Amino acid sequence: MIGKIFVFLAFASAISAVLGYLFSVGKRENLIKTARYSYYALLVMILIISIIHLSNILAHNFQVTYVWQYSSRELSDFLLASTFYAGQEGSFLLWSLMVALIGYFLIPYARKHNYEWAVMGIYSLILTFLTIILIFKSPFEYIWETFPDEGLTPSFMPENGRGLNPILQNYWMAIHPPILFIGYSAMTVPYAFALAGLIKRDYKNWINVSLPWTIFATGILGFGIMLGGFWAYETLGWGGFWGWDPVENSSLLPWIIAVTLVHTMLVQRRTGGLIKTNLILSIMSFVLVLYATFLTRSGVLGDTSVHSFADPGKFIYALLVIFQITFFTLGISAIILRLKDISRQKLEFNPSSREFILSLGSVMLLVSAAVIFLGTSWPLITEILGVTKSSVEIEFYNTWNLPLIIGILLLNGASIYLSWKSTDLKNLKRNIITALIVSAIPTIIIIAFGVTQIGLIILAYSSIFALYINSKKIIKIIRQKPRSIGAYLSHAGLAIMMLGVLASGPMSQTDHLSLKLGEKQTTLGHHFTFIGKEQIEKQYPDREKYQYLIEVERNGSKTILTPIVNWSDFNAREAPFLEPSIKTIFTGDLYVAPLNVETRLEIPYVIVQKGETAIFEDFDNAKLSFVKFDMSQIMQEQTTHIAKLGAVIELQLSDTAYTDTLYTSLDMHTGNSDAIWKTIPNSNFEIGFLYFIQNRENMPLSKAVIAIKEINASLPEPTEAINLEITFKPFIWLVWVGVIFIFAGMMISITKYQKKNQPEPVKSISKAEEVKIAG
Amino acid sequence: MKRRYIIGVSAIILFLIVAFISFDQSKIEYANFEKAKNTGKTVQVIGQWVKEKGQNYDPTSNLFTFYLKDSNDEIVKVIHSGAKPNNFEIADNIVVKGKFNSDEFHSTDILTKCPSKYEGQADDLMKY
Repeated sequence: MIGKIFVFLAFASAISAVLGYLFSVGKRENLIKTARYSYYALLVMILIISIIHLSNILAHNFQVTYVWQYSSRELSDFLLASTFYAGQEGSFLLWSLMVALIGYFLIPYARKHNYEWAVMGIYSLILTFLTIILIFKSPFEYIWETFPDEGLTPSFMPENGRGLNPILQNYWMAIHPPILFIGYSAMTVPYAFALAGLIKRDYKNWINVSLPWTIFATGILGFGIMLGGFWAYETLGWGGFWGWDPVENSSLLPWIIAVTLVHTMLVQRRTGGLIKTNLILSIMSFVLVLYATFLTRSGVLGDTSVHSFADPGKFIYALLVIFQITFFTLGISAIILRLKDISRQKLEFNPSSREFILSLGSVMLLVSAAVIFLGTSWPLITEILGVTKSSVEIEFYNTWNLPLIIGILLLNGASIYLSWKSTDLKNLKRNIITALIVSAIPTIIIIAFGVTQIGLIILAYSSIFALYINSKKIIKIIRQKPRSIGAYLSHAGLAIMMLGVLASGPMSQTDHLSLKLGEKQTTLGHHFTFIGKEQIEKQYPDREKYQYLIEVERNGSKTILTPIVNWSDFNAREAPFLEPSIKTIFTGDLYVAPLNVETRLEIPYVIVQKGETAIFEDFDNAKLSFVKFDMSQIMQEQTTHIAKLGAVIELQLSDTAYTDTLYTSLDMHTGNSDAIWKTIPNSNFEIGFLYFIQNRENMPLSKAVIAIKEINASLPEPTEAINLEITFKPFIWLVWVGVIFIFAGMMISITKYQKKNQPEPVKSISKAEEVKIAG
Repeated sequence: MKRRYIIGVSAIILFLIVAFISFDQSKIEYANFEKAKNTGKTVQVIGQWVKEKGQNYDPTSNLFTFYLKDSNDEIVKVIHSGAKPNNFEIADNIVVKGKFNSDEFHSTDILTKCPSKYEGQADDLMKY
């Protein structure tokens, strides 16, 4: 209850901040002070809400629906804490918290640049919307409010929670979502600056002020996205780090737009052109963040994604749509209103200038974004249009983006030899030809390694071209201007990453193995032996988690890989959760992903539930229907702890069919079963009820295992087998190195533009304003 | 000035045409088996696994075979090139992507839709 009050208080503070800032135009410095304090109050409220939410989780307060739904007593402390954002309500809260915190650092910055009221007014408006979502999607709802029809008394406390989905139970859960959300939240800043620029009729200086923040948002978001990719690769066992899944794509869209924006902002700084482009891109990068949250939370892509979605309810769906439309319309109409005002001076870029090449590269980025947008939204578009629902193939994204990335890499390499305004063509030619020749040598080596597809060869060539030119530039300037290496470092990173993508994707090799215990098989130049399994995390009663020990041998050196098979109460242990195991060496990763485990019996057998029919495929396709369990003899031999459990079956052979009851002697102490075999009429075979698989939660769903063997033959021991997918991914570490370079380069660039970015001399009126505010 | 616009507009039109064509080629419709058989195209079919007819994964050929019943209750043998999905048995619905080859549906992609009960329903409350 107390939490909900604070949510309302946060909403009120947000409204107060918006109104205060917007009405403080001119000289009402008291009002701007009120607005600023309202903002601080808003931040404090959101902090309090977060603390209450976290303490509910840490105290196992299962009366709260959210806590019951996403956490349980069987979680380590840090996983427990990260259930803060495991559900929708919590992730909206995390988003609000990050936006509010970033605002705390934005206020003094905007104030210094004489931008406070306009930027913080827009910024607080966005926070107002986020608090509205928190009101309707509250993490503080009690279970008796969520399930009003269950007749629960308002104090009912469940013993334990449903727990966190085991696939999320990993240290990445503590890292990836917060970083991603910092990136999403930081995208609010360029939007606020663009609108503030429009409000203040400043179409020039806002670029300088906004640029460091835009680079920050882009860097963090990109890093967060790739951490998600690494998580998927390392523990979710999806095989790769990128699958063009709708969830991945929708987070990539604002990133590509923001990357474009960084480049077009640089062009405007130098030339004064691309004014409208920068305004539109700033607006779109934020609106696409909203679109991403909408796509991933609205459930519209449920059929086409490997991520699972919960239906958030019609109301939140509508709210998210309104959220997007509002901020899109607000931004676009502000541009339209100011259209006459924005300088109509048209600039023709000289084709031999850096700005021309940067603009061309930006167009390619936008085409890439358009293609990904179309592909990702297609299921949604077809649904809205009412035509047959369809989605696009993964290949669609690869086909389109391959020529685009090649173009981007070549343009990037060339752009470094270009000057702003215009370039001496003679030098340019010589430099580029040198670079093209130098790059040919490593490309030939790559071809020698077996890359044959022409598109991929060109990709390798253009990556090396860009890498060569960027590295040369870094070496040249690192001593004199270390702050200026950021851009070159990022682009070198992009080139390295593309080489990694090329090596680890199309050049990877895959095979499948099915290993019985003790068995040894060879593939991809390695010998694999299934040597045993080990139960881990035994202290948690909600799971049975095994490491399968797979010995890998190559040229006499042995290592043990440990793919994980985890049977969890989360899904009533019906199917295991699986994790791959990876061996990293210089030439690449050996990726061993478990597919499933099976217990094999070397005689024909079936596993059936009451009412089901199964087929003995290895016994003339005989059909067995399991009618019911027979409990009539279960109490007969009470004294010996042996219970006789029966299974009524109907067996249909090629020529005859009959009904019978099969028995198994179940030792109540050890749990061992002994089948009482019965001869199948007119044959040399007998049939027996081997054992039953009990479902404690729902007895009728328990299963019977029924087998057929030759009369008097001994019963073979069941053997366990694990099916594995083995992949060798050459040089995949280049991808991670590339990502780190891209991120590091962007962080260095922030310092460069922040330093360059001393505020312009403040006009006398505003100076007075500043003094009064400060006083 | 005008030249720039002409180049720009024709580039956009060209892009839209190419995008539309490639889009049309790579889009995959949702269909039932009947439609998949008639058109012969690659489609996505959603359905339920027919338990009675069993399932089989052959690790050497890496083929997974089972029977799927679509929304029209038509039952078709599906041969999927790849492993059996981990939660195959408990899935409510199964989506296969592929096309017909004689009377069998050859699938290249498989998606299992798990029961929404894992989101926490009222009847779970008492158990915990």
